[in-house]
Amino acid sequence: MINLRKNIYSGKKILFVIAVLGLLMSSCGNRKYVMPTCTLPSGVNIEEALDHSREDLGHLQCETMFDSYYRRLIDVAKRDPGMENKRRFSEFLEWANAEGIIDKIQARSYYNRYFNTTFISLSDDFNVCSSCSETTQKEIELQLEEELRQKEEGLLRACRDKNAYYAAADQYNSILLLLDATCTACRK
Amino acid sequence: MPKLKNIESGVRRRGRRFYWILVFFAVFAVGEGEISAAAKQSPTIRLFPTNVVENIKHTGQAAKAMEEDLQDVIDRLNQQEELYLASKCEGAEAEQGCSEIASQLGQTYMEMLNLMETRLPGMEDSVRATSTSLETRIRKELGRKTTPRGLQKLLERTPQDSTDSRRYKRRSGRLSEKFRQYYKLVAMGPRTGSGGSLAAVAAEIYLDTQEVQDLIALTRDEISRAKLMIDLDQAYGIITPEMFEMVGRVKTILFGETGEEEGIPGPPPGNAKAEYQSPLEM
Repeated sequence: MINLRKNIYSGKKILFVIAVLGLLMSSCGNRKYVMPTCTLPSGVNIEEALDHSREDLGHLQCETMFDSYYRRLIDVAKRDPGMENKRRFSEFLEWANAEGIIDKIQARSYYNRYFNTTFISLSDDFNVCSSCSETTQKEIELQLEEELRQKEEGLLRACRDKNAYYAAADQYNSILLLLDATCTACRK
Repeated sequence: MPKLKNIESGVRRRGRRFYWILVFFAVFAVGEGEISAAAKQSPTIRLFPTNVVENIKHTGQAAKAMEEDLQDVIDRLNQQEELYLASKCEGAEAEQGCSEIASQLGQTYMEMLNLMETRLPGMEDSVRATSTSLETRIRKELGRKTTPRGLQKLLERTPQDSTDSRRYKRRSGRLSEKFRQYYKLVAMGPRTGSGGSLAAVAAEIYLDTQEVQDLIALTRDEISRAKLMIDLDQAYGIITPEMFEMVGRVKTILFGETGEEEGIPGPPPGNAKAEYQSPLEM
């Protein structure tokens, strides 16, 4: 009699646990919990690569790989260049922001680093003199150099926008000149 | 009677309060007007006040005077050097012809050193004055008032001419010509309203004056050393590699005769405007 009661009690327990698990799984709504395969896009067609990335990044597990996806998309765009790529990447980043994969600041950073002449590495918080210790100045210069390389990939290679890239390169030269002179004056 | 007095003082107090309220509103209105007017205007970067412009002009004149003085002696030195090398006198200094050329070279060299020694201090003072005045302006206007992003915004405000993309490249050539060009740029600059290019010009002049100051200091040291060596050795007639190096250094200061660095190539001619503008653009 006691054993029968124990069995009924443990059966109820198991049912309760299963019910809780079921509820938890269904509460995740639209997010797919089927084990996704996060495969980075490849090929020579940027539209297809963007569709593939949207599909993959729709899964929670792939979201953390956004940066790798973005870099790979740039590589694909270099093999499928054109001015249209600016709009495509902008729309992709806006979509990623709307989906909550990246925030607005990240979206801006990703776009401007590759597709705009403005250098996002330059801070707007403190005055120039406060960025003039030798190590900070060197860091800024390295970041600017890296960003110019990214603009080369985005503007020149992926969009074939020579004018914009050369304008960015010109600005890079002028910024270095201004930074050099201003920091020399600040340090004295 | 005291009641009347009370009423009178009450009216006066109220009148005074009304007066202060009026003053407050007047001040507030004027202040707000100023603030909104200031907000509408972009920040003014004042890098070239009159004293800086005058210093640049003076440095150009000092450089020109020095160049004119030295041009003749340097030409002679060049000719004698060419003759010395063409006659294959290196290693054959004992031969009569060679020792004569060497002696003439030594005398001309000494003449150059003396001339430089007289002219350099004035030149150094002038360059230092330009450098110091510009340094103060750059530190205040670009260093303290501007952020790194602001530096770029300043450059973006300058209308870009697609055919003249290398405008910020360091100028080379004669020192006096450089400063003459600088003077022309800064004297005309404020009228054309090109804040960004003026900032770049200021940076360029400032870095140039730093470089020239270093070179002048180095040259003055070298002059003292060379003269001491000549005094000690009575070295007329002995051609040393240092002599040629010295002449080279003088030429660098005055005529900018050095190898030029290649910058990033300019854009191809065409419309610089991008066709697509993203809402993410900054």
